[in-house]
Amino acid sequence: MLYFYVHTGSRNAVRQRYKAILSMLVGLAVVLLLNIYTGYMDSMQRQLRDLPGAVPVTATVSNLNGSLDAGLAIPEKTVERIQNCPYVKDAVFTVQLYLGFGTFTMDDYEGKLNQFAAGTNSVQGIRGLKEEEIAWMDGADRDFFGSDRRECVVDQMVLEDNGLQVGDVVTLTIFYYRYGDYHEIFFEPLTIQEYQITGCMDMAEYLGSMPVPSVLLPFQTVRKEFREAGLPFTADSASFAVKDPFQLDAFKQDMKEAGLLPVAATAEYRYDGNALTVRDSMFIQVSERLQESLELMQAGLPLVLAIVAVIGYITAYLLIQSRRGEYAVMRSLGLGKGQCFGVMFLETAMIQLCACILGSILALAGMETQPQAAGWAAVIFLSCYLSGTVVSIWHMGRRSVMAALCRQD
Amino acid sequence: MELLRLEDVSYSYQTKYQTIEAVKHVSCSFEQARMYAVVGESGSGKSTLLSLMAGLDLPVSGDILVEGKSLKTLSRDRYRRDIASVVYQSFHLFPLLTAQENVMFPMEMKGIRSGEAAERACRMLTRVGLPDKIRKQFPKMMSGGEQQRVAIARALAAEGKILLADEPTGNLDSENEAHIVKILKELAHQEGYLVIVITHNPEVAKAADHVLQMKDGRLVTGR
Repeated sequence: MLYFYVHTGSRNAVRQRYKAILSMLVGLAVVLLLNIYTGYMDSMQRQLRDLPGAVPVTATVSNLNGSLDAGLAIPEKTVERIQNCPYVKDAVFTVQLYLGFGTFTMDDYEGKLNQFAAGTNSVQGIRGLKEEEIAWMDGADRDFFGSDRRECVVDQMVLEDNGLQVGDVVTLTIFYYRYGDYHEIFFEPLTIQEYQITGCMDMAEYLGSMPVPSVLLPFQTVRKEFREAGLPFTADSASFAVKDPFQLDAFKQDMKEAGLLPVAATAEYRYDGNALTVRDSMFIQVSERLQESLELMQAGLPLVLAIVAVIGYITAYLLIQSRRGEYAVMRSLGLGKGQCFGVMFLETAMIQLCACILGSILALAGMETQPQAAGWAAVIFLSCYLSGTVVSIWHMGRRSVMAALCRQD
Repeated sequence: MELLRLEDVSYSYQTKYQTIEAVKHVSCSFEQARMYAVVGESGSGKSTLLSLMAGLDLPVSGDILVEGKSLKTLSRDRYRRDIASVVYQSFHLFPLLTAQENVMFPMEMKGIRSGEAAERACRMLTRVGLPDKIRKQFPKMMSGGEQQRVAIARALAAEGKILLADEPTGNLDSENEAHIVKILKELAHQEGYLVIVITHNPEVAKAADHVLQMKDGRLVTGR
């Protein structure tokens, strides 16, 4: 029986080729329009998905009035909380130090305590410095920043001035910054240790707000020095990216629980790093706009589907209703309702399947539609269009065969 | 031998404003290898009676028996496919199919393969006196007489026992009319068909073995 349906349907389609082509063109236009619609929705969904990469949300710890984002005293527990926060990625910390080569004491520092230094866990902590500008000793690399070994990277000029070279082991007398209650800054001795110079750098293009560091130390090493000296550790700056900006509320709540408050411009000027500036306005603006557009398109989808179904119904109706006589004759020859339905449905389905395939190929080739969106458009089109066809044939099948044949007589 | 029997058959249908009683308490029987003519004025219920005999609808009351079996218990689609074929005044050929394909259609429906169906269709077309050149022509290219002969050939293709014809000569000239009547008579007398013709043409009625007259939905006389 399937052969009969296919044979009869395809023969009818070929015999009324102009109607079939016209119907196919209508179908093709609908498929292309659907491709534009679903393609646009798909594109917005992708934009939304890729938004955290394109418009990252970053945050910086500052003092409460927001005037400082470096040269702060960020308590170690805050540092740990940021490091362990599930919503945070790419956290960059720095700690400012002051040091001199060789061994000396507090009473004997003049002329010797002459190098600004920074402890950092990432090259991004030193603004203006690029990783490729660091020349590493054999066996050393960027892992330096994550280590807790007594190693350092020294500015090329400083190396030359002090007759040092990469690979040398030098004694560093390190002082740290202590912030007083009345905006004073004190230098206090931290430790005297031997460090190996594992790399040299060029700090000519330093962009940071703090003094140019001529020596870099691993952040974790500095923390260890504080711990070994029995001193409370504070970081100088902290910045990071939000791992999933779509969970901003949860992230902010976690930061609040970590003791980081929103910036209050009227707050007193202090060195305490206890506020957080989150640069999320662009992300929120763009994501809200995308989400609104997407919701609008999704809300309009049922209407579009209804329109496609109506177009399917009308086109099928116009094609099939002109053949009511044929339907009635088929019935009078003893073809059952289901079989008549099969013949007419298959005929329409074959035409529209061709329209669907052709439309999808055109959309994929010419409109850069994603295969998934094209697939959706094809499924939506066929299901809606053929639903319209089913309704149209069903409607015709309800009419009396006798009446249809007698009317023609 | 009795092939078809109508037992107190009535049929009515509803229009927007009233109920029309098209056929009222009709009882009669039809024998194989006979040609019957049902005559009557327009609106007398002849065509409705034919539609009921064709199984296109069921009587509101009464019963139609085919070889002693009630039409209500049979599959009416199968009845039309295998036993009763109908020829109409307007021919009702498939406009997208050639003469031969029109005749092949009932056979294709039954799953007969194309080669055999085509061969049999040619025989049927020859049987109704159509030349070979007609076979590949579409209905719109044929005369009324030719179309009606194709319609008869299609009815014969079903290889049933009953041929119902509703005003088969209504759209034909007298020459074609005589030809069609001759074919119908031959089908009844030579090939054993029960032929029932609805007509108000006295010439067609005269050719029939039996004439039934209908008036206001009732069977009033019979010969």
